[in-house]
Amino acid sequence: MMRNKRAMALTAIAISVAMGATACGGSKGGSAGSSSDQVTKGGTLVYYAPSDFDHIDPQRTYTTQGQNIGREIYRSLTGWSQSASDPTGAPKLVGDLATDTGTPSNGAKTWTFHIRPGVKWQDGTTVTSQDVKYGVERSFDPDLSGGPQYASQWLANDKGYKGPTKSGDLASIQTPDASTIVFQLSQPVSDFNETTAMETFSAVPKAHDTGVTYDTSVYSDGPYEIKSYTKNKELILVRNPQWTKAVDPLRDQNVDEIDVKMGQDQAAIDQLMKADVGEAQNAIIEDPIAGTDLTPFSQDPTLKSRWHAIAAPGTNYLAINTTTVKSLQVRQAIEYAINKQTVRGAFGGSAYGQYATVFLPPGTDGRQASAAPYGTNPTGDVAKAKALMQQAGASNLTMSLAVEATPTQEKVADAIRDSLAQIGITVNIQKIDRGSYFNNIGNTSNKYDLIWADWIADWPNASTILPPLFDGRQIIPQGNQVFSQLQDKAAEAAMDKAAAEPDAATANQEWGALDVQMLQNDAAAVPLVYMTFNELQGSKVGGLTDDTVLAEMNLAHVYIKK
Amino acid sequence: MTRYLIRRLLSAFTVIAVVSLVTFLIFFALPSDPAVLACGKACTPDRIAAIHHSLGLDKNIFVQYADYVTGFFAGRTIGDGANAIHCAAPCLGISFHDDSNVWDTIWGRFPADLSLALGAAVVFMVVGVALGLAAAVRKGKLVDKFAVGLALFGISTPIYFSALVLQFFFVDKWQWLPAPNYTPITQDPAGWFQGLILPWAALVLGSMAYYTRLTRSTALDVMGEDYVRTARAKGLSRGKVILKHTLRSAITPIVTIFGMDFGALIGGSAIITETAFGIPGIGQLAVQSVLNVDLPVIMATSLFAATAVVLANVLVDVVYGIIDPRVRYA
Amino acid sequence: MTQQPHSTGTTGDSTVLEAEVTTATADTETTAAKEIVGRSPARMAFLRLRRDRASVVALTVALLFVLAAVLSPVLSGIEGWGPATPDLHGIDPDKGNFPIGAFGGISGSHWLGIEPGTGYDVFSRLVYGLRTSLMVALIAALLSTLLGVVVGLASGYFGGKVDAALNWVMNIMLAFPQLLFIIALTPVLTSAFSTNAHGGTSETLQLGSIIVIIALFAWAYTARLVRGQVLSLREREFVDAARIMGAGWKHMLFKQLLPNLWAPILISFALAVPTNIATEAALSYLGVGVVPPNPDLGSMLDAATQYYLYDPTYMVVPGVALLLVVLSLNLLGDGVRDALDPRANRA
Repeated sequence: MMRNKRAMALTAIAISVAMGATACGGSKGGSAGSSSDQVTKGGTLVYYAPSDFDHIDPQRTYTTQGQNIGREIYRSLTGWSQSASDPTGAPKLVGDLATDTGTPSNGAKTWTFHIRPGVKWQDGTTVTSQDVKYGVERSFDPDLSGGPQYASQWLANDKGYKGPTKSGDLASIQTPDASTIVFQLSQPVSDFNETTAMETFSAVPKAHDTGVTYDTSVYSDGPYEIKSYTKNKELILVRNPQWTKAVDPLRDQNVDEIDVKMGQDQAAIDQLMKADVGEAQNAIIEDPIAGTDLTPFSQDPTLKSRWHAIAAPGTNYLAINTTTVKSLQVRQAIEYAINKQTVRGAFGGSAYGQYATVFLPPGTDGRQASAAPYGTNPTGDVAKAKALMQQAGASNLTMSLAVEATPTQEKVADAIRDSLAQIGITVNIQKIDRGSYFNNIGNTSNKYDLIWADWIADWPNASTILPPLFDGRQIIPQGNQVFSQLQDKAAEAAMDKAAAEPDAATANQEWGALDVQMLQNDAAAVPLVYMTFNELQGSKVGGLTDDTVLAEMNLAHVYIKK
Repeated sequence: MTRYLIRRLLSAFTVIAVVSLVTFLIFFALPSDPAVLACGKACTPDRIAAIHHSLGLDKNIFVQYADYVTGFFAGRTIGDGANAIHCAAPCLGISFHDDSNVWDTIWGRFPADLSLALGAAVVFMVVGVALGLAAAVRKGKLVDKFAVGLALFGISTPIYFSALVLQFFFVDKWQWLPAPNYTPITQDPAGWFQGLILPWAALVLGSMAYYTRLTRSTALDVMGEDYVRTARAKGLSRGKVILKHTLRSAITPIVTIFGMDFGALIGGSAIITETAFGIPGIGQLAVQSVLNVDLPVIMATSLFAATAVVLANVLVDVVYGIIDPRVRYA
Repeated sequence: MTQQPHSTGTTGDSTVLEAEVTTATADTETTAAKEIVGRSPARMAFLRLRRDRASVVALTVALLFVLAAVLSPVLSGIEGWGPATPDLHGIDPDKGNFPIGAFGGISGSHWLGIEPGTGYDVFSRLVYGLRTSLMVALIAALLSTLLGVVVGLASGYFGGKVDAALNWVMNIMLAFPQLLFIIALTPVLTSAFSTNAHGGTSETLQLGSIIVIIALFAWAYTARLVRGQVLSLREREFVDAARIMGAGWKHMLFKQLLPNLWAPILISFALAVPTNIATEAALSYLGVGVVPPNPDLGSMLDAATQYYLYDPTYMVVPGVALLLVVLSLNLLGDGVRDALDPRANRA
């Protein structure tokens, strides 16, 4: 999933305890989420954010922060359930606004959901399947920019459709009655019900849709509703009186108010959280502890009980543009030459995460954990790299490297440049403003040779990792995500086969094998580090669970200790 | 006087008009495209074109400029169809970045600038003038050396360095002060004061020097004048004479600089101070708007800054007439 | 200080309004230089400068910095580390690439410590950074002074419509929110000029655009100062005499006016240099200046904001260096002004 606010991507990762899911379990202290505390009602949860959300409009948000706060206000068809008694357990897909996780038919090209009875809007009216249809249709409106595009990618016959206010009704979403909604897809999507957990598939009441300003007047069918929202300053959420626990399998409604305070410097927020006095005791952050604070904070024993190291289903990597770096041997030499140790050091040190050996992050089913096509030594193998360069007959190469213009990333770029200088490659660093970074590298005419990127799966499945990043048929001139511009027909065929495989276990195995195969045969990306997001909570906050899907602290069961 | 004022205001108006036009033109030379920024990650050329249209960027530059100017005086409707937003006069547009009304954003941030400017300007003027006087009276003595040294040190220290050093000691090492931030005075006067102490200190250190130097050199000039010797011969105390005559001579240039400083500060010129201390003022907004390629906000922040500077100049001229009867408005 | 519109450091040249006010008020700022010019030869000024102890110290310090900048390749050669050669044994990658050892890793082989994050040598980056800063500042000061003198002369001498037009332009330049425009313009210029295959940026073009931008926003101060001087010189007897004798405008400008303007021009140049150093560093601090890996004092301080809590040495070294350079040049500028303006020393 795209993390617009890259600050978080720059930051986090699991303590030296390492190892995927156990990392968060291991570093997780007692008081943070343990069920021994009495859950109490009332109080105000404070949420410090350095900047405003990208959007909280369900059809426009595409950051984990926006989605995480959004799901306290509105509900999508399905959702990831986490129990308060097992705060670090793996999230489980359940029906949220829908009664169950949906029924596929027609070879997974048709998906049917039934709306849970008794779910009400904040004005007491019932949420209907038409509200969901209207919401999904909104995601087609070009004025409502942002947000994932799965709906327009997969729904049938959508050519030229521009949302409900411009184009009216979208035929491929049917609502035979007020509680049934049917999606007609243009291709089989066997994990569509995981897609529907994204906020795009939330209901919006037509009567209360305010278009581009819906962000500040989002209508609630979840436990909290907007009391006031001053952009870039403050968002105050209060209890939605129409919400009932009986019809919500995911969330509680413990605190009276959630107060999001925006605009403070992240470094200042870090210090506030560390000091843990006054209001900060009731506070959480969702941009992870970043850069230079990471090592000192993660090693501070006094912070251990308030520390959350959340393994993100994501990989931090360096894409190699196969259209400009054409020689496979040169690309393999780069794989060997990169010193992942200094790269990770630049990201914040061992607390940032494990060194990556394959592309799929730990926790992805089917991942070949023991495979390491380019060895396990994090400092690389310069001798092998030099030999490959010689075989390729390449010397004195010059390459451009795209990174975000942040202090941390500039250090990462320095580390990459210094690594490649050893094998005779001169690297020119291109700093690109953080806000426009992904759009810039997504423009294929920019022709960067090396491109830093990270990827967090939209839902935890290899099918949302390998095809979006390595399927050559998905290359587009603008908004491209296949940064390597790889064209590997065999790999594409293997992707199609795995996607169509009805048996999940077999499919996962195929994905895992394809991952290692592509690294060896294509060397189109150097997996650098698997990401973990390190968060800090105030000492009086209880009930937080570690959501490894969004890599955030889930607020579903949050309460304030008396 | 009235004619003069009208003439000055007219010329101020042309300056602001030119600033706004140049800002507009520079924006279109920027290498990034706001539609691409707004579009999100999976962005198709169709969608970019659609966003261009809804932002009005597909029109001719000068038509867009005319729309902008008309909007300011008469208000306008931005976007079309169901998503149109009406922006009432004086309309500074709707942010590309977060669809907020720019006029409201600017005024929402103004109290932070005003707090920063008021606190710092009063202190740096008063302390600067006092130090300058003390230095002149005790020329060559310790006080003089201290004042001159502090002034030099002040203008030679980059604010982003003094900001770091101040924070390192006062916030992190000794923990005497909370981390610098801005709390509205209406919400928590004590918090407002504490949070702004360090930004004020950094600004004072950097700006005081001009007042110290000016006052000192004027005072030294005055002390050499015949009328001062005469006054002293008549038995008036030295300090009183110097104070009176120095202030009379120095007040015009001091008012000039103070007017410009204050205008610039109010207009958000304290970009580095705001950046270094994380004060959510107009300067910080301006930097963000450039990074976000957010035309309406870029326009509004630069217009606001230019207006503040230009109006401060006009105001200074008017004040001249009051404090210095020799000034003739021609 | 770069955010102040009148940051050239002298109080006189900051008055935007003197034109609107009768000369009585402008006098406080301009008489000083005016009186000395014509009477005292450059030599006397130099002798005066040499007698001023503070100026001598400042000159020595400034020269040391200039020398370090010029000799940066030699100095870093002696120390043994290049400006972008990482010492991977000097930093701890598990702890966020912080330097190993006290005081930011200062040791016999790293005289001023190691840069956190990259492992580069701080001393080497400092001297190379100085080279960039001084070069940019000097050239920009030359450019802005030249432009300022030309515009100021033309405006003051020709008067009338020319003066009105030029004065209007100066007013506009001074009313611009400068730092904001510099921030906005820098990417425009660098992207327009400096990309070639594989993202190589020509360092010359990069520095060139920074120089042009700094000069572009600085000339108006000099122009205003020179204009004021010319306005008062025009009324003097020797100028009148030359005019009556039928001298042409070239003669008037170059033989009569310019020789009498050296003092204010020199002062404004001397004070523009430290201001430009600060502006250049500020640009790099805000991320629109010199591109890494090219070392720069401003970008070092920018990086230090991330590290200062845990590695204060890395904040102190570039900060103090920048402070000393600007301080010594300011002091020197003051010395030059005092030497050319003996009135400031009397009483």
